[in-house]
Amino acid sequence: MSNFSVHSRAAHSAHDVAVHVLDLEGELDAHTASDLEAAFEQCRAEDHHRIIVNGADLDYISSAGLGVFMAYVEDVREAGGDIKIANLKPKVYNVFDLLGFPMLFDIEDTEEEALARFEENAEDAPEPSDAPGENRIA
Amino acid sequence: MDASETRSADPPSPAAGHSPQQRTDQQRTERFDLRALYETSSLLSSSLELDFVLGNLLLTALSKLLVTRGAVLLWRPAEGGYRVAATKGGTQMEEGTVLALDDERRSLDRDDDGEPMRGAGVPAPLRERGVALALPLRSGERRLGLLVLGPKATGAPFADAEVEFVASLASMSAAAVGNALLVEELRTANRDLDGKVQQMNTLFDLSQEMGAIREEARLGKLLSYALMGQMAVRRHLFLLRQDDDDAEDDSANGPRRPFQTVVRGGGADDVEVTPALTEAICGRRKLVRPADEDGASWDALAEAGFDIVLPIRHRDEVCAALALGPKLTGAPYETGDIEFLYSLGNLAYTSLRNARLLEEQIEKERLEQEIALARQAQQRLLPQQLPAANGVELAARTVPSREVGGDYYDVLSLPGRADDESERLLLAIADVTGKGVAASLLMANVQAARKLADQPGQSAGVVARAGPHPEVAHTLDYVNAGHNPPMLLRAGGELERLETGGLLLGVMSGADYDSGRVELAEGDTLAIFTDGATEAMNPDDEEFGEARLAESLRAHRDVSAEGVLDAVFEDVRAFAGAPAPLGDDLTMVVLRVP
Repeated sequence: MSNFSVHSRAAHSAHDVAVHVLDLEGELDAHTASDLEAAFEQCRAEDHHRIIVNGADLDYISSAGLGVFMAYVEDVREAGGDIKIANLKPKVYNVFDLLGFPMLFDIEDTEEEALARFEENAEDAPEPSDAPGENRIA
Repeated sequence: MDASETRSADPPSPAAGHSPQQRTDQQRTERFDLRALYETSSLLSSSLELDFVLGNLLLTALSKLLVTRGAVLLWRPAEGGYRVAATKGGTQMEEGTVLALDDERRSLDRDDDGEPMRGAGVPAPLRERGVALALPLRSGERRLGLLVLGPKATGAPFADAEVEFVASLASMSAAAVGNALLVEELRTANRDLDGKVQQMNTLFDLSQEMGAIREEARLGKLLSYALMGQMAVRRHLFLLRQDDDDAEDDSANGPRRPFQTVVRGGGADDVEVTPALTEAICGRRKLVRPADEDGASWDALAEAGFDIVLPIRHRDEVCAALALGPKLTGAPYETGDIEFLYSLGNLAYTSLRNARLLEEQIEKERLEQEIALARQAQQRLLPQQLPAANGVELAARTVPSREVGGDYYDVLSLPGRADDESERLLLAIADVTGKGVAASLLMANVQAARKLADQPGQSAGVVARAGPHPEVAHTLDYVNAGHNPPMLLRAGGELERLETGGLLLGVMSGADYDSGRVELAEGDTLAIFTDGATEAMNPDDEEFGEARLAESLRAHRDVSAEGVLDAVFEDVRAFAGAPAPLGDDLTMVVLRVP
């Protein structure tokens, strides 16, 4: 039984940049990676290239799950968009951080910040984001 | 780190001189010195951040001694010397570099007595970098590193009191440095451990999932995701050698089984997997960095942007290979990464291999089921019950070999003709060339056609018609279309063969067939059989043969038709070494005139 789900919805920034949001819920691992894959495929089919992945309800991510981001981000960027990541729980952020993903992805604390980043320049390559403070190992 | 953080930055102590106030100055200096030491020490002890501790230690030392540049080197035996951990001012040392502090007089790497080193006493590599004073940092017996300082800005030599002060500073700060180092080590260890745990999780996650999947494409995709996620790499290639079932075939002489590409991603499309590349990879046992190798195959991989190639071995033979481009984070592949990649490569190899084996097994079982169905159908085509015949005994049997065979026999009672009311019996036997479902289908066709001519494919058959005749008991008309000639054993023991006929059926359309006629008298036994009888093999690879068959018939011809059949089948089985399955269907029809 899969305990992972992706819900997609449209969002708009303050200056009306259309962005597609994927809300992840549950555990993203080798078994459920195909669900996220399908969601990205659908984004591609529907020409949504500005994507925010909201991890507010994401409880776990495995390397295979991270790999899905890697597999799609290049195409999305080539199409002038980006995959930005927001609202990660500390435990999940830690995995992103451990594997060096903050260097490769724009990871924001909130969806609003991620929206704002799209506003800055949707076609910009993402800059490394800062780690949320609580994820530092004390 | 800026100077505002150094609350202990006292005004520089005046250089020792000979003024009238000398004594008072001396006392004040000592008091300042003591306060500076105390404040610096308590400030440093309040923090566990190494950068903060080292930065403040340096700033205090610089300001107290009027020195413009200094550095802290940390003792890193694993890295082969002292690492530059913090610098202030324009030192000729870059943070992060490791210095081996050996010189002609002594090796500081081995021998550190804890005493301040000044002027010519400073190890040469440091002197060359402008160091005028070096103070060991020790926490108890533990060697931590060195606090090194350039010359005084005034150009004056260091006074003994200054050296003493900074030695005390180094000594009092060492505990804080030691603590901060421990915390840093712990932090690194924690992170390394987190990394290991993450790798283990990945392997566990993947082995669970891969074990449940048997579609090769899906397995490949999972491998891709795991690689990209764990290593932050895009360009990757996973190659798998073709089946290694026949390990003997892969001799050192013959060509190696080629690699097949199972997974490629991240711009790895332009790599051609050539036989030379297979050869190159299979000749390796360990990690290869194509850029460091000579040869066209390695060059091609390096040009395509592959940094590392891992040969995956199974039973001491390279059976797969994993090639990766650079990590996008710019980090190098560490030992731990390589270990992980070998585990992942092995997992992928095993999963793909198992998936293929499972697929083959399923295919085999499906085929076996089909064969069983075909065999059932075939058995139903054969007469379930022989017709009753007046004046002759009939017996017929077929023993299929392991596979579905193409043997066919039939015995039919034909209606009497208007001009001849006598009973007519039709015997038929056929052996379709080849075996398997197709052969048995053809056999079914043969039966449906009811006549043994104009069939597609090849079959051999004998049709014999036996009927009453005024002078003798029975007349037998027959056509032999390339079948083993039936044996007619006369009551007296003489053997005749029914050979008249023509070519195998279906070999040539429109072929003509002759028919032969023999008469059957009391005590005669006719055996029509397929080559399963004569070609049955014993363990020494000898055939049962026609002579043994004739002998067996002759020996048992006095019993009933059923008895003859039993005896002959028994002889064939005994010869072949029961209970080994026969290589071919064994079919025989016996007609005996009692």
